[in-house]
Amino acid sequence: MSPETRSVMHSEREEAVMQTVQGLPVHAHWLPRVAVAAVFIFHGFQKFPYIDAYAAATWDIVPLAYLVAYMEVAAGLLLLLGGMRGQYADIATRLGGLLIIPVMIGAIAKAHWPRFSFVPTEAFPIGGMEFQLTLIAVGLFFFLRGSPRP
Amino acid sequence: MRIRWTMVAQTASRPGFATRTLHFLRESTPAYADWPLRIMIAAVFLFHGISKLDDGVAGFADAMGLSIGLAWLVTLGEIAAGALVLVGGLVIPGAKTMSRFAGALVAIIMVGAIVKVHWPRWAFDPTDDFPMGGMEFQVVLAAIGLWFFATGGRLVKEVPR
Repeated sequence: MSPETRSVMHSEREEAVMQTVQGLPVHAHWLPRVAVAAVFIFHGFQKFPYIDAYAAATWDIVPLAYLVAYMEVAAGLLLLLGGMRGQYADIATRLGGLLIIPVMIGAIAKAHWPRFSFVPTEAFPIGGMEFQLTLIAVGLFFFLRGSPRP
Repeated sequence: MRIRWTMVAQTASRPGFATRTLHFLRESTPAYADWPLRIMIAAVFLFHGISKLDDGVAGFADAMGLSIGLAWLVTLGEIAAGALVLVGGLVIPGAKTMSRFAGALVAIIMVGAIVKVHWPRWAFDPTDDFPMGGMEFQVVLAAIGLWFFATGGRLVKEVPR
């Protein structure tokens, strides 16, 4: 193999690697999607075995507790589905982002207000509201953004 | 303002209304959609960076078992990430690079926090073994940071449908 051929092959491989690297931003939307979906699917399913205890700890309304659990699971699944192909991907992303917001406002109102830092204290045993505000920000981001496709 | 419900009903029942609404939504992605993420990342990182300055960086270094130099690096890195992610949202030269740098700082500091404090618990509520809670908040922040690193905070279109 002549040095020229080898250098051409090398540059072709380099080019392929560069194309992949430049193509990565196209898939970057999966990072916040998967992280937030993991949070909501985890907390949604976690509520079902202890739904009565969860209701008693919050507003003491069992149907509301079920609604919150279902909304959390639905938000997570919709955000995951919204990253896939198809006609309804965009509306799924927006709906998933929108569902997050009332659930998190409820959580802040019930447990976290007015502390900001997530570090728990005696008065705020599950910490302040910064995590929940971050989740609202991601929800708002996906609600405004949808799934833009070229 | 009086809502004319008959007109609303007429508009909604026109053929193709649902399709056109979906199409309208699909084509509307405002360029400012990244600002909720920027504002929250800045709030979280400026808050924790400046609190570390307030409470004393030496105390933070002791509590985490870090060297004093590394503790200062984390503190200044948090403040820099919070400031740069805001400046990176402006329409100025180098804004994308600033967003990428801020995102990289966020991801690195969060991986450090997870390894040092939160691993292997997931849920954020604290237990006796994990007084600072699990890693889910830090994972979400790291994911947002990596999104900023990969895209420069600009809205990149996804794969073609």
